[in-house]
Amino acid sequence: MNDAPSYKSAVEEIESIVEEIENETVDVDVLAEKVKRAAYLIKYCKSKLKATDNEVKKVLREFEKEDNEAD
Amino acid sequence: MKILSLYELNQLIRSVIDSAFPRTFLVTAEIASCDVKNHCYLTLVDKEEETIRAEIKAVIWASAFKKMSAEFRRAAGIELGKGIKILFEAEVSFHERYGLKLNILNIDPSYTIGELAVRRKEILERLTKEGIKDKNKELGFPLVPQRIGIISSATAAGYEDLMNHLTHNPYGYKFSCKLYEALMQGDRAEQSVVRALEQCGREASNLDVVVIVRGGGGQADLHCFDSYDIAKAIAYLPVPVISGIGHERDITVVDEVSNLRAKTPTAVADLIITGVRNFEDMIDSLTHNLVHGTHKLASNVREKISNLAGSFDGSVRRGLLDNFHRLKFFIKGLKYSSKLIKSEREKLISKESNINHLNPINVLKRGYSITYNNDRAVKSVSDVQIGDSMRTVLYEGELMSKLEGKKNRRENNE
Repeated sequence: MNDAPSYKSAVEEIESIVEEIENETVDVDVLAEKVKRAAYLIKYCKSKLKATDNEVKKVLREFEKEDNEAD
Repeated sequence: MKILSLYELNQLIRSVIDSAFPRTFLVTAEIASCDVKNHCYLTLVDKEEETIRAEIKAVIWASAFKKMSAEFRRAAGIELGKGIKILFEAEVSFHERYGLKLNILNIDPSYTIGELAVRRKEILERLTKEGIKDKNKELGFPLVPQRIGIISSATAAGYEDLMNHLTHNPYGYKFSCKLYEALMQGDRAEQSVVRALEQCGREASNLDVVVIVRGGGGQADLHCFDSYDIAKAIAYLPVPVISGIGHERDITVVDEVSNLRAKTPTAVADLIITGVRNFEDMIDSLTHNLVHGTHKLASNVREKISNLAGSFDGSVRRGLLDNFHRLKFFIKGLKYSSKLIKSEREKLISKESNINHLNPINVLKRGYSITYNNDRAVKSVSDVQIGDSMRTVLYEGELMSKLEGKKNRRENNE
């Protein structure tokens, strides 16, 4: 997972996930994973808009912590 | 020869000039320098290509200058200054101490407007010919204009307006701004702005957008933004430029080549904030689609599974029912066939008994006998003659006899 994707690449990834889901071409086995990834990117973009770089990094670290705890 | 004082000589020159140039003239010239010290002192030149072929000092007296420059500014949209071509009415004057000067009485701004337009057009044509006029526009507006390079002067009110507006945007977006200081008016503005643009170019990877905002209100000199050099620097900048130097009426070359233009620094900030807002809207709409799509997909999958389960259940049930019916049918058939067998057997038994009845042995057993005459069974008295030898078969053994008499049973009975 890219640490700090650009807005462009983040949006492209979200768009492709949404498209897959809307076209129902996504494998149900990985649906949850994809949705989680998209949600992560959305939250990342949103926080990047309203926070400074340092704040974004903090948010990212929290994400990673959540991810690790979830694993 | 009479010796004159310098004053006397200059008086003589003055009188000659006064009588030689008794009226005013309409003259076109370019301002080579302009210095306002109560009165406005100008150096006027006439160039052929870049070579000066005529030059003269001129003055606009303070009493007329204020009104004249304000009118000029209002009409032409620029300040009187270096590089501007003007059409003016002047008288030739000679002063004993200050020498030869043109005394400017009137300036016609429409000439300058035309000249500026021609110059602007020439620059734009050159840029078009070189294929770089729309180069910055072709970059497109950045997806998220969040890292902003600002070309302005640090003390400019416009810069402050821009920063205030960006910082206090209603959505709470954070912008990272870097000032690339430049002179925004005067002789050195052109060179200074070009240098700032070049610096932005070196730091392009850290910039989403470059903004050029002018110093103060609408009175500053727009002239330097009709510049080929600035336009070229913008064209070759790999970052989209928003020009915020706009004027109510005029569109400068810089406005023309920039990615976007706005009239005021505040409008520039609005453009940027709107850009980010559009991005957030896009994210929001993607979020909505993600949630909606996921719900829909999940419910479709659920429905499919439940349909599958239903059809499985149905087919199993139908299968079972079919088998049950078939079984029932079999049982019925079985029952029928056993009945059939039974009746057949009964028939057989009855036939057998009939057959038994028919067997002559059984008849003989009951005391009957068969009499043969010449091996033919005797069934009537007419079958035999008196004296015939007959053989009578009994149940056990046979009798040999000779017929002695016969009687017709029917006659007897009668």
